[in-house]
Amino acid sequence: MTEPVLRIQGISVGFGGNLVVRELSLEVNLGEIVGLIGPNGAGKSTTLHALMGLVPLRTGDVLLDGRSLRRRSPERIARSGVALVPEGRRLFGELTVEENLRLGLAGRRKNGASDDDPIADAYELFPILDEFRSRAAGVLSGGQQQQLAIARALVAEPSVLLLDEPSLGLAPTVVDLVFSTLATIRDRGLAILLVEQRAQRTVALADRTHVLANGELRLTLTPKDAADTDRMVAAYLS
Amino acid sequence: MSVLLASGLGDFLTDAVDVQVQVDAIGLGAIFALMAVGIGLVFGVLRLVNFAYGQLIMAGAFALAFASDKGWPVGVGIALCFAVVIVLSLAMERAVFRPLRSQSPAVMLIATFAVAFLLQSIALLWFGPLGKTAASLAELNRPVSIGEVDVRKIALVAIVTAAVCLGLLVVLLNRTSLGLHMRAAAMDFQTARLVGVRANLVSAAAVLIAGVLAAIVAVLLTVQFPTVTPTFALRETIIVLAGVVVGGMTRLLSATLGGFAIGYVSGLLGGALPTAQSQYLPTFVFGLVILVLLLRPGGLFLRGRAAVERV
Repeated sequence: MTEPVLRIQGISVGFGGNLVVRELSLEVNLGEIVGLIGPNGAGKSTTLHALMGLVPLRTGDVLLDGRSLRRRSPERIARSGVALVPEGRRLFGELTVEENLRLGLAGRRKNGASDDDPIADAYELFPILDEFRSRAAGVLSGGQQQQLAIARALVAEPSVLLLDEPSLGLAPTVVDLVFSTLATIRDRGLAILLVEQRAQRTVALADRTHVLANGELRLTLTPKDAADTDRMVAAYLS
Repeated sequence: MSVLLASGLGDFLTDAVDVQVQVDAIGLGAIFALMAVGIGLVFGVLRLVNFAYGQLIMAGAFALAFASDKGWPVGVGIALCFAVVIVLSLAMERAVFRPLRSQSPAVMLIATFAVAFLLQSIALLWFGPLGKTAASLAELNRPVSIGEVDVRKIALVAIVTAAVCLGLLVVLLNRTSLGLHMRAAAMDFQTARLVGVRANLVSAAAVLIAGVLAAIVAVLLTVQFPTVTPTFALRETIIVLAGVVVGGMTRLLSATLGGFAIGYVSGLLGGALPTAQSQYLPTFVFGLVILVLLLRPGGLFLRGRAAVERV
């Protein structure tokens, strides 16, 4: 069996005297989507922040291709091959679409970057961005901005893509587009860790989905559980 | 009384429209604009008002005076000025700004005060309160005739130098990856880091560029004020800081325009006020600053949302 590209080993994260994430362990392999769902305050976003080095780990470790990311700065983690699509997109609204994508190149690894033009690839995946490449990112619609945020992350050619609630505030048709795009990205061989509030859709899409509550991993669901509404509700209320 | 006042105002306006006064005022505005860019650039990336900026200029001016004192060629003096200011800037960034980057603005502000006083005290110990004279570029104070008008060479040099520097900076910020990273860091430092922008590199680049501009300002100012003391450029820095705030500190363009505007107004008032009243120049300038801040607290050159956003 191959080594998972991302291995989270018993991490705990806290603020002051409170532990927000407790002894969390999970793995993500190349070419798969792992979902992370749970109620508000469960510690999902904090987990992603810890993976990106924004908050320190109290215990445990995060391994990328077997190498520890502990104590690395956010930019070093980004340059190691982990890209985050943050909650709320966090685009540079006054920069153009093209400039936002060029910023994504800052996260490209020195070794391991392909010879392809990742910006051209991003335009191919999201044709609407090509159309608006000279437009300021801040004037795009919510759906277009979300596509740009995902495209900016992909331009770095990461091996692991972290997404923090990419469907938040989007119209149902745009959510469909985002989820189908994630499936396409998975098929290209990336490892995806998806934090979401849309539990049923996430469970249906992801290869496996972990339910987080009060900072602890409570349950793991597979796509066939998506139709089992009782199990889904029980997972949330557990 | 009213006749006397009207006559005085008439003289003032006549002097103010004088071409020589105008060119000198634009020249001073250009120097202040360069200082404003240096201050605005560091503020944009690091959210730090660098009160030690004037002391960097002072250090560069002392380097020029030192070289002049030793009888070294002008080129060597200018090279020494650049070397001293750049080394000090980078040392300041590495030893103070970078470790305190995540601290509150108040902590950073006090830290720059401390650095300013430290540099000033070192200069006082090294060169004494009377300072030194940097005379090697004094020739630039001589006038040059353009048509029927005599203007000082230094005013023209300052205007051309500022135009070239600002042009190069615009190219750097808009046409290079480093410039793009600096602009992104100025908008949202944390997100810039999350996409892989190197925080230390952009912060050092901002401080380095500001340092280069400080060295240029040191050269230009020593031509006009050849006596270099530990308080050299202190008054100018305070005036420029006021100009930057008046223009709108949150944007580089508005900060630059603010610096230019306050330099231009200072030059105009300095040239047009009767000699006996020139001591009141700062009173006039800061009176105008207070008036503008009362009318447009967000910044004279900022509009709408931009007045409250950081970029």
